[in-house]
Amino acid sequence: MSFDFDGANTDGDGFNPNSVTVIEDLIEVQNQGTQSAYLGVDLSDLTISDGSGNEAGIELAASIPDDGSTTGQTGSADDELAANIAFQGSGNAVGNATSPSSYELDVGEAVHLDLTVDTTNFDNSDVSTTGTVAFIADQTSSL
Amino acid sequence: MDRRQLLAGLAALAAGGGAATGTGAFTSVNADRDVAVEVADDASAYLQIFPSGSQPNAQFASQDPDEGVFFDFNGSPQDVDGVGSGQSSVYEFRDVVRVENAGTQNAFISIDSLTIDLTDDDGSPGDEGSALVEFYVHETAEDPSTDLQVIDGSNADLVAPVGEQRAIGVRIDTNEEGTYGDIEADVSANGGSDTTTLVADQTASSNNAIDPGLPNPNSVSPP
Repeated sequence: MSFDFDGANTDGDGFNPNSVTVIEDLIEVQNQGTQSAYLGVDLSDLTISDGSGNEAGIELAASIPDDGSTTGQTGSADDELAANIAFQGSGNAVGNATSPSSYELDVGEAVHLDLTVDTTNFDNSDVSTTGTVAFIADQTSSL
Repeated sequence: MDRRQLLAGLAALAAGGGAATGTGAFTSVNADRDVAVEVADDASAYLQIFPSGSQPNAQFASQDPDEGVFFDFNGSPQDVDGVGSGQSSVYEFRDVVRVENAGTQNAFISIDSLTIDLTDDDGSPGDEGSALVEFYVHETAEDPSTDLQVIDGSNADLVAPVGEQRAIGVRIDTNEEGTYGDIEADVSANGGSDTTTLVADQTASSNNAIDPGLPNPNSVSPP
């Protein structure tokens, strides 16, 4: 699996500058092992820069439907998202993420991840980059 | 969301398989996956926003490749003799900018209306009233006699199908009495109190989703 946000599969060439773009339900991660695992995503090898020292904020967040189980969280899925989150890169904090965290994935459980890219501090457009995202599943939480 | 900046949120669906999957016991999995990313200018990005080509009112919008579209109705950059909107008036400028959804799913677009303090002769903003700036479509794009709908996400949202352009107009209401000086508004994406926000989302903010259809001409290129 790879991710292409460079216009290879759409009419648009890429993300808008000076904007926040959310791509919901980008991928699904399912634990098909025999034990629960802590899922984390390391975005440190993916940097989107405008060439003038400004970096885009990048976040992959677990999208958890709001079932009312989280104390103090009511209403939209975003509320639940804020409580459970999220794995963000070295750029600006975006979306509802407050700090990198891992998500405990039970056996058989699937989680959907939303991608948020924040280019509001960009001074230049027409920039491209490549990098990697590391998906980490471990018996212990590293975050 | 930070609504101080021009914001284009385009939710899209890209189905994918399991990123870290297996069929047996594991203690740890670390899987690197490649990512290619581009940030394009507004005229070629996933949500394209640009002045309406050779349409007459396109000259009231300009495009900075790095900052995006900005609107200017103070007369200074256009090839027109007038220098601004008249007082106690409502001006409608059809087809100033076009939007084109170059993503993967249809979207609903809204743009915040602005109330801009007017600058009087001594340069003090707000002393002499304000101007209301709204962004609108007609219910049928090719028929300006149809009702005008302000797409502020409260009154209405604009339907933006994948691959099609939609024309957006600007209405300026200076109905307050007063001695006006210059009306200046930088509706760019640089921030400041005169910046508006465009939102493209999978769900409409209002209960009034308007699809005016293709404008005439159906498609224009950025100037």
